[in-house]
Amino acid sequence: MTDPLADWIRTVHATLLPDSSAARGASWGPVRMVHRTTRPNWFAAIDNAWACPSFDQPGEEFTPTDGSDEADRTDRKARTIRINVITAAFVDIPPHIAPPPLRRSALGPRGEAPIPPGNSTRLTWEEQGDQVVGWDPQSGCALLLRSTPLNGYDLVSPMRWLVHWGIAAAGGILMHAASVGRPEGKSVRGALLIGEAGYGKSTTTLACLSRGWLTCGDDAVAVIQDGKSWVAHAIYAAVKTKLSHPASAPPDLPSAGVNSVTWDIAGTKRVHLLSSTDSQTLCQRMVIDALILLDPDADPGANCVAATPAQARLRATPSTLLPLPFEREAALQRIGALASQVPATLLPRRATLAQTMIDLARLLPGSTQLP
Amino acid sequence: MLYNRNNVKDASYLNMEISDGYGAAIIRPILELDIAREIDGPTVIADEVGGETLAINLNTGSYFVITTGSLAVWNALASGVPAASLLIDDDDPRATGLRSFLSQLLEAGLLREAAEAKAAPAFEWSAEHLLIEQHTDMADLLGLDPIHDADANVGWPMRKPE
Repeated sequence: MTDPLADWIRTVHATLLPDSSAARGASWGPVRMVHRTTRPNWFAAIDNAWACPSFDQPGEEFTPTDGSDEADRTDRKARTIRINVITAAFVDIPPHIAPPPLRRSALGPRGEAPIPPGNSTRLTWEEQGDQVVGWDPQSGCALLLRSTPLNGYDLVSPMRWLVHWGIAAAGGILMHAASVGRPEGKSVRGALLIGEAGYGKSTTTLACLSRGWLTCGDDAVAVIQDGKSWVAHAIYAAVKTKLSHPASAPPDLPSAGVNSVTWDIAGTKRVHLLSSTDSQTLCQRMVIDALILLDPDADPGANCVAATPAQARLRATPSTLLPLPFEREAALQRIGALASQVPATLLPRRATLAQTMIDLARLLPGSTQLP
Repeated sequence: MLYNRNNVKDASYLNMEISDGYGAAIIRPILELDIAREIDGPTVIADEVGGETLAINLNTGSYFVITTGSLAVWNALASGVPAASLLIDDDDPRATGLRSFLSQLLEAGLLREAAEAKAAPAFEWSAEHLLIEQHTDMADLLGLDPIHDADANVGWPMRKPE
C-alpha cells in the first residue's frame, strides 16, 4: 500500500543527505540510530546526552558492548532496528519539496499524523514544540525538523519519540522509570524504580550512585524482554533531580561523590550528566530482577510490602504511556507482561536515603551485603 | 435507583424519563440495556493483568481499574453482549447495579455502540461486586491539546514554494 507520508520522509531525507554531515549516533539495545545533521551548531550538543553513543561509519554493523556471547550477538544483529535520522531546520528543505500530505485537523493530541492501516510510518507535528519527527521503518529514514535549536530538556533527553518508536519496533517499552543495580559476574542486575514525577526516582538513583551502584538510566529506560529476562537498556546519560528547598530534601542527599557534570534547567531541575565511558556510574544493559514501586504516601516506618502484578502495572502505566504518541496499546500489553513476570514491592519513602538503601539491598535477589 | 440531575455529568447517552407525579423534578435515566457495545478504540485501550483490567481513555487521560468482581461483566459488555442479556428477566434484582455500572462505563467514554450483538456467555456475577475505580491524576499529563488549541491559521513551518 502506498504511504504518502513515507514517500515524503524518504524524499526529504534524500534531499537533505548531500548537505548533511555525520554526527554521533547512539544505540539502545537492538536499536541503532545513525545521526546526520545539516546544522551541527544546532544539533551536535545532542551527542552529549546519549548513554551509548556511537559514530556513523559506513558499513559498520551493530555490535553490542555488553560482553554477551557470540550467539546472542548474532541474534541481536539479526533483529537490529535502524534509524537513519537527519536533523535539520525547516528552512533547509528546498522550496520545491511540497509540505507533507497532512491536514492539521486530522492530527492527534500529540501531533500524531493518522497512519493508514497496514502502514508503519510514524510522524508527529508538535506545533508548540516547534518540531516535526518522522520515521519510515521500511527504509529506516527518519527526520527531526525544527525552526529553532534545541534547549532545556530536549538537550538532555533528545529524540524521545524516535527512541520510543525504535524500542517499540524492537518489541520493548520506553518506560518512565529509573534503574539501579550492581555488577554480578559479567552482567549488571538491578531494579526499576517506578513512580510518578516527584516520587524520588532520581534522588534514589543518585543515592545509589554515591554508594557505588550503577544506573542504566533515569526517567526514561528502554525495557525489552530477552528470553525469560527483562533487560533495561540505557538511553540517556543524565539524571535530573528536582531543585527543591534544602528542608524538603532528604538529609543525606549526596551533593558530591557522584562522577557527573551538573547544571540547572530553568531553575527547576538539576541535571547530573553521567560519564558514559568510565563504567563507574552508568551501565548500558541491566537485567531487571525487581520492580520497586516508590510510595511516598505510605508510613515512612512501614515495612516493604509485595505488590500484585495489577498494582505494579497500575503504577507503571499511565505516566509511561499517556505522553507517548503511537504504540500505546502495545506498550500497555508489554507493561502488563513485565508486571506479571517481575516481582514488585511497594517501598515507603524513608526518613533517610540510607534507610532506603538498606531496603533496596534487601529487595534485590542475590544481595548479601548492605551498602 | 433515582438519580438527581446533578449526579448525571453527561446525559447525552441516556434516555431520560421525567416523572412529575409528585411535583418534583425527578429524573430516572433509562439506559438502553439492549444495545450491544464495544471498547471505543483506538481512543480507549484496555488490558487485563492479574484479574484486573486497566482501561485508559487516551482523549481525557483518565484511567480506570475494573476490579476482579466486575471483570466478567466488563468482558461481556465490552465484547458486544447487550447488558440485558446478562439479566435473567425484567425482574432480576441485579438490574439496578448493572445499570449503574454500565452508566459509569459510558460516562467514562469507554464503550461505544457495536454493530453486532454477541450472545452472553454463562457466568455467575453479583451486582454488589460491580466496581470501577476512576483515576484522573494523570489527566494533566495531556495538558492542552498542542495541536488543536493552537492557532488554526498557522501552516506548515517551511517556506512556501516560490
